Amino acid sequence: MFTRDRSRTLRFCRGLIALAGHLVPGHERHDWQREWDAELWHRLAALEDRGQLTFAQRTDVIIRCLGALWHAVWLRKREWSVSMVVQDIRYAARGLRKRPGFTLVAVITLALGIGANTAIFSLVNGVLLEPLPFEEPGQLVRIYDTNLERGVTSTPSSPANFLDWREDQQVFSDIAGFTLDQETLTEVQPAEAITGANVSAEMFRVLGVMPIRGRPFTRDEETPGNDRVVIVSHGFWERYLGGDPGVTSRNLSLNGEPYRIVGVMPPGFAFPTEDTRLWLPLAFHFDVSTSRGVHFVHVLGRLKPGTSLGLARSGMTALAAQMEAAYPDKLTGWGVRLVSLHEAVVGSVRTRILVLFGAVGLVLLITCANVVNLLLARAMSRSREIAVRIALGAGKTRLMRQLLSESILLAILGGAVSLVVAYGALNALLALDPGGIPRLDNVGLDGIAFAFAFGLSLIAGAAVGLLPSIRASRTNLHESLKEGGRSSSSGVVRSRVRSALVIAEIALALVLASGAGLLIRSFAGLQQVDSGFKSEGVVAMSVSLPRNRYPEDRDKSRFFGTLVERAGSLPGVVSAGVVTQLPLNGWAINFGFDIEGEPDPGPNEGPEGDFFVISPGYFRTMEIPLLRGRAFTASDVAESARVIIINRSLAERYFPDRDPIGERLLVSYGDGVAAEIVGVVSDVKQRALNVPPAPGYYLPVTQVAWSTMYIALRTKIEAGALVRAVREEVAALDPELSVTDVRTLEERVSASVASPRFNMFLFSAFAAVALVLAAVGVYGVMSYLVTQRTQEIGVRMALGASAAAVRRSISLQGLRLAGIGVALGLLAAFGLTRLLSSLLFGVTATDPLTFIGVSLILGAAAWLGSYVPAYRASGVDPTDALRAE
Amino acid sequence: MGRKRHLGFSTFTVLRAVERGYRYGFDIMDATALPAGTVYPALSRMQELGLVRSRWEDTKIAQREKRPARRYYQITAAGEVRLQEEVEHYGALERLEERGGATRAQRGSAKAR
Repeated sequence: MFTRDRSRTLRFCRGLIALAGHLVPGHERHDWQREWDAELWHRLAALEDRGQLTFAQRTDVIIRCLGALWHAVWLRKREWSVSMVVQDIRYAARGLRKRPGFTLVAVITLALGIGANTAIFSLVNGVLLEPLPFEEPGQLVRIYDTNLERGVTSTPSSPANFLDWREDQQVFSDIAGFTLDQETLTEVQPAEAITGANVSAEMFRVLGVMPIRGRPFTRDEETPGNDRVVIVSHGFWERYLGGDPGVTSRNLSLNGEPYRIVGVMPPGFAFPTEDTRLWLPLAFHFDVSTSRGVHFVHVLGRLKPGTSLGLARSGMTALAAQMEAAYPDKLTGWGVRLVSLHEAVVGSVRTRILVLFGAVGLVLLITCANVVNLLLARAMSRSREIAVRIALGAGKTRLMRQLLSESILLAILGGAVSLVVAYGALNALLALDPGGIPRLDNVGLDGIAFAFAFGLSLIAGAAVGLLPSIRASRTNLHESLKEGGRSSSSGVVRSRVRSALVIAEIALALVLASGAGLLIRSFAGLQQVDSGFKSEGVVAMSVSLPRNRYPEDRDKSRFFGTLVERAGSLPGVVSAGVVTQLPLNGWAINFGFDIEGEPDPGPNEGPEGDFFVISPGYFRTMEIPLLRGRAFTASDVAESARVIIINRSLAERYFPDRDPIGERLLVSYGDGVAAEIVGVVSDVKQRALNVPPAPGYYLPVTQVAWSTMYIALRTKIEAGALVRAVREEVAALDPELSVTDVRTLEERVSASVASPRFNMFLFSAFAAVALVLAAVGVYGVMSYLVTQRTQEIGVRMALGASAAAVRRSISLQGLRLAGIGVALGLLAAFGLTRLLSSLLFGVTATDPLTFIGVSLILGAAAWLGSYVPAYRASGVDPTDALRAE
Repeated sequence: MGRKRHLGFSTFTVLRAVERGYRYGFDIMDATALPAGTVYPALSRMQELGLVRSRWEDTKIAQREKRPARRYYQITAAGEVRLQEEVEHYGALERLEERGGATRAQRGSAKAR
C-alpha cells in the first residue's frame, strides 16, 4: 500500500519519534507516541494521494518530527515544575515523620559527619585560604638571612644589613623592619606589660594600613632622642585612653618615661602578632655599623607593581652578594631568602591542617555509608508500598525523584543540626590549644562555613539517596508482593551491596585508626623524652628592666642578684634562680665564641653555642645535674676571675679528647674578657622535646648582664600565693616594673607539646567515631543477613544444629566481612599514613606494631557488632522459621 | 495560570484554529503556519486549562479502514468563552491561511506581539 519512498520516510520519522519519546514523562508517553505515529501516517498518505512525494514534502514532514522533540522536552520540563517539587518535599517530609526513630538516627549521623567537616573547613578557611588583612597582601614578602654553610635557613637580619637594604634595594616599593618587645605600661598602677613592636617608618605604608588618627612615624624618629613617640592600637585607645579624640596631644608613660602619642591604628589591626598593641620607632641605641653579626631585625617588603617574587629574589640575591663582597669578615656565606608573607605565616602548618581535613573527610564517607545502609534497609521495608504504587501507574522516574528528595531532605535537616555540631566542635578545638596554628582569631563559623555546610548537605543527600532510590524504583513487583519477599535474587544482591558498604566503612575506619594509633605512639614517645630538668614544683615568671633606668650592666646584675636572694628566702621556696631563657622555649639566644689557644677559624667555621646567663642557684632549682667541676658560687662576683660553665654537647663537640675544665672561652658578647670553664652540666632540651640539644654555655649574672630574665622558684607550696609574694618583692625593689608570663614549668612543658597533642586528640576522636559507626554498620548488615536466612537457620536447627554452632557460623560471617575490610584498610593505610610522617616522632609511618594493634581493635569491634544478631539467630524457633513461608 | 494572564498570541491562534474545526494536530499546523514545537505545547497547555479537550477516534472504525486512529481536539464551552475574551483583547485580523501544506520555510512565524 505504501510506496517504498513513503515507508522509508515513515520509518525514519517513527524512529525520531521513538527517540524523542524517551524524554516524555512515562504516563504520557504512550498516547504521545501514538498520536504522532498516526499523524505521520495520515500526512504521508494524504501527500501520496496527490502524487509522488517530493523532496520538499519529505523535508517538511521530517522538520515536523523535530518539532516533536521540542514538544517532548517541553513536556519533560513541565514535569519538573515547582509545584511538583513542593509535592515531593511534602511527601518526603511525611515519610520521615512516620518513622521518627529512623529519621533521628539518620539525621544525627549525617549531622556528625557534616558538622565535623564544617568545623575543620572553618579552620582551613580561616588559616590557609583567607588572605591576610592587609592591602593587597599577595605583594608582601618576608626577607630572611640565610647561611647555608652554617645550616641557617631563615633568620632575622642585622640592623646594618636592613639599613643598607633600605637604601640600595630596587625591587620593593617599600621595605620595613620590625622587632618585638615587651613594654611596661607605667601609666597605670600596678605597671602592666604590653606587647609592642618597634617598626621602621615605612612599616604602615608597606602594610597598606594607616593610622585613623594622627600619623605614622617619620625617618627622623628612628634616631635615639627623637624616638619617644608611640602609636597605639584601637583597642588600647579605647581601653586605656578612654577613646579620647584629643589623643594625639597626650603623653603615655612607658617604661617610666613619657612618650608622645602620635597615632591610633584602625580597629582589628594587629601586626606582627595578634596581641601587639603598641608601636614604637625602630631606633638603634648603639653603633649600627658594629652590628652586622647580630640578627634580630625582621624585614618585610612590598613588591613593586609588576615585579614578580622571582625577580625580587634575583634582585635581592645580587644585592646580598655585593654586600658579602664589601664585608667579607662578617658576611661571608650569608645570603637572603624571600618568602611571601602568607607562606611565612601559614606555610609551616599547611600540611598539618590539610591532613586533618582529609581525615575528617574520611569520617564523612563513613557516615554516608552508614546512612546509605539505613536507607537501603528502609527501602526494603517499604518495598510493598512502592510495588503497589508502581502497579498503580507511578512513573519510575517520579518515584525515584520522590525517594531522592527524601534523602536530600534528611541531609538538609542533618545540615541544619550540623551547624550546632560544628559550633561545638570548633569551640572545643580552639579551647584545646592547637599549638602553633597562626591566625586562630580569624577562624569562626561565618557565611562561607554555612555555605560549605549547605553544599555538603546537598551533595551528601544526593550521594546517599542515589543508590537506594534507584534500587527502590526497580522493585520487582512479583517479589515484593510475595509475602516477606525473602530469598529473592534481589535480596541477595541487596545484601551484597550492603556488605560491600560495610567493608568500605571498616577499611576507612582502619585508615583513621592507624593514623590515630601512630599519633598516640608519637605523643607517648614525646612524653618519655628526658627533658634534662625536673619540671614538677617549679614556677617561673619574667621581669624586664627598661634601658633608661638600668643603663649599666652592673645595675641589671645587681637587680637580679638581689631579687633572686630575696625570693629565695621567701617561705616555702626550696631554691631560686634566674636565667635568660627557660628550657623548651622553642628558641635560644646564640653567640659565637673563640677557644683560647686554638687557631683562628675561618669566618663561617667559628664555634657557637646557646647563650644563657644564670644565677648560682639555677641548676639546683631546675635539678639539672652537674657532671664535672663546680657550679657558680657567691664568690664569682664582678671583680673576680671570669668563669663559664658549658653543657655536655659543647664539651663533646669542641673538647672531645680532653678535659674542658680549665680551658678558656672568649664569648662574642660582653666585655671581651675570656672566661675559664669551671664546670660541665647535663644537656637540657631547649627548642623542643624532639629536637636534640645544641651546644650551650652559662655565664654568671654577676659578670654578664641581660635586661630580661626569668626567675624560677622550686617550691613546696601552692604557686598562687608564692607568685603574689614575688610580685611584691619586685615592686619593693622597683614599683615601675611588671612581672609577666607567670606559669609553672609543667605548663610550659605541656605547651611545648600542644601541637602533637592536638593532632593526637583530633585523630583519635575521628577514629573513635569511625569505629563506633563501623561497628553499628556491621550490626546492621548482620541483622539483615540473619533475617534473610531465617528459614535456612530454622532448617539447620531442625536438622540438629546446635545453637552454638549457628552462633558461630553467623559470627564467622561477620568476621569474614571484617577481615576483608581490615585487609583493604591496611592496604590503603600503608599508602596514606606517609602523609603523616612530618607529624610523627619516634615511630615510622608504617609501624607494624600499630597496624597490628589497630587491626585487632577493629576486628574486636566488628565481632561485637555481629554478636547480637548471632544471638538472635541462635534463638530462632525452627518451626516458626519454617512456617514463615 | 488564571484568567489574569492572556494567552500568548500563538496559543490564541491555535485555539481559534480548533474552534474553526481544525481537529488534528497536523491540520492545525497547516492552518496556523506555526511549527510543531509551538502548536503541541499550546494544545497541552490548553488541555490543562480546560479550554480544549482531546479524544481518540473510534479504534474499531480505524481498524476497519486499515489506518491508525488519530487524536482530535475540540474546543470546550469554557474555551469558547475564553476565545471571545481573547478575540476582543487582540482585535484580531483574520490570520488563517486557507491553503494547506505550505512549506514552513517560506512562511515567517505568525508571532506578533
